[in-house]
Amino acid sequence: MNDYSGTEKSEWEERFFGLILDLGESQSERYKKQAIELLRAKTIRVPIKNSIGFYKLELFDCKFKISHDNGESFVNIGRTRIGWRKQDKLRDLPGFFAHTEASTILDVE
Amino acid sequence: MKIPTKRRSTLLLTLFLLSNHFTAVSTAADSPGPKTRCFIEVGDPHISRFLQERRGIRAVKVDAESRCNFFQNNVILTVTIYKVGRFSDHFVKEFRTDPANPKSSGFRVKNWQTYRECKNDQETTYYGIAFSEAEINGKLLRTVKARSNKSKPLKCGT
Repeated sequence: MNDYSGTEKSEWEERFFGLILDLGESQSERYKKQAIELLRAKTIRVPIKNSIGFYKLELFDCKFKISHDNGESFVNIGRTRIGWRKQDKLRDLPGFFAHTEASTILDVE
Repeated sequence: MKIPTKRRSTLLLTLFLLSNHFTAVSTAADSPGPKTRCFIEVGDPHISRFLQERRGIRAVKVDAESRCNFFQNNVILTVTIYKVGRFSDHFVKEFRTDPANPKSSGFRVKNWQTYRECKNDQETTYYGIAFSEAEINGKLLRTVKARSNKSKPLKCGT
């Protein structure tokens, strides 16, 4: 995989990771609340731009789906391994929220 | 006609060897065919240089690309990162391209979004697996799974 334009990839990574880190800072309080709610309810729906994100928490992983038709249908997008302890989940979930939201926002733009 | 036991076993052995020979010849003649020009390319697991240099964050990342000489529509390019364990390998992260995204159509569709932040410096061996589903000329096609070439240990525990 060496024939990508180096500039194209670094520009994309700048936007992608820049947005993840910005969201991680600006939305940290919301992400903490979301993580607590997800731990309690096991599934949550979150509006992201004009779409709806759906998170499902299981013992060792968290899944993310997206809907572009007001929740009528969802497409699998991501899944991450997550520690089984509550403190592991509370630590790792905000990063996953930022990753999935940044991905959705960049896809829409 | 009765064939003596010794001769019968020699005959059976000869038939067995001949049948194997023909199977091998037949496979060799059938397999090459026209080489497909649609394929998945998976990069090796690496520490994201961008994140490390610009943001001081260490993360393991696997990039993949679906390329085809035909226009691919609504591509779902899945990239999964695994780590090698003592008894079995462990799932780490999976990310897919959204088929509804206009960037998920074209001759070249990329998934550069699959990464996982390191928690510590513990040496860990990772590998990536990628496959894709796409509509090509109105048909839904799926590639076989492709695995990254090199799995070298990285100082990145997840």
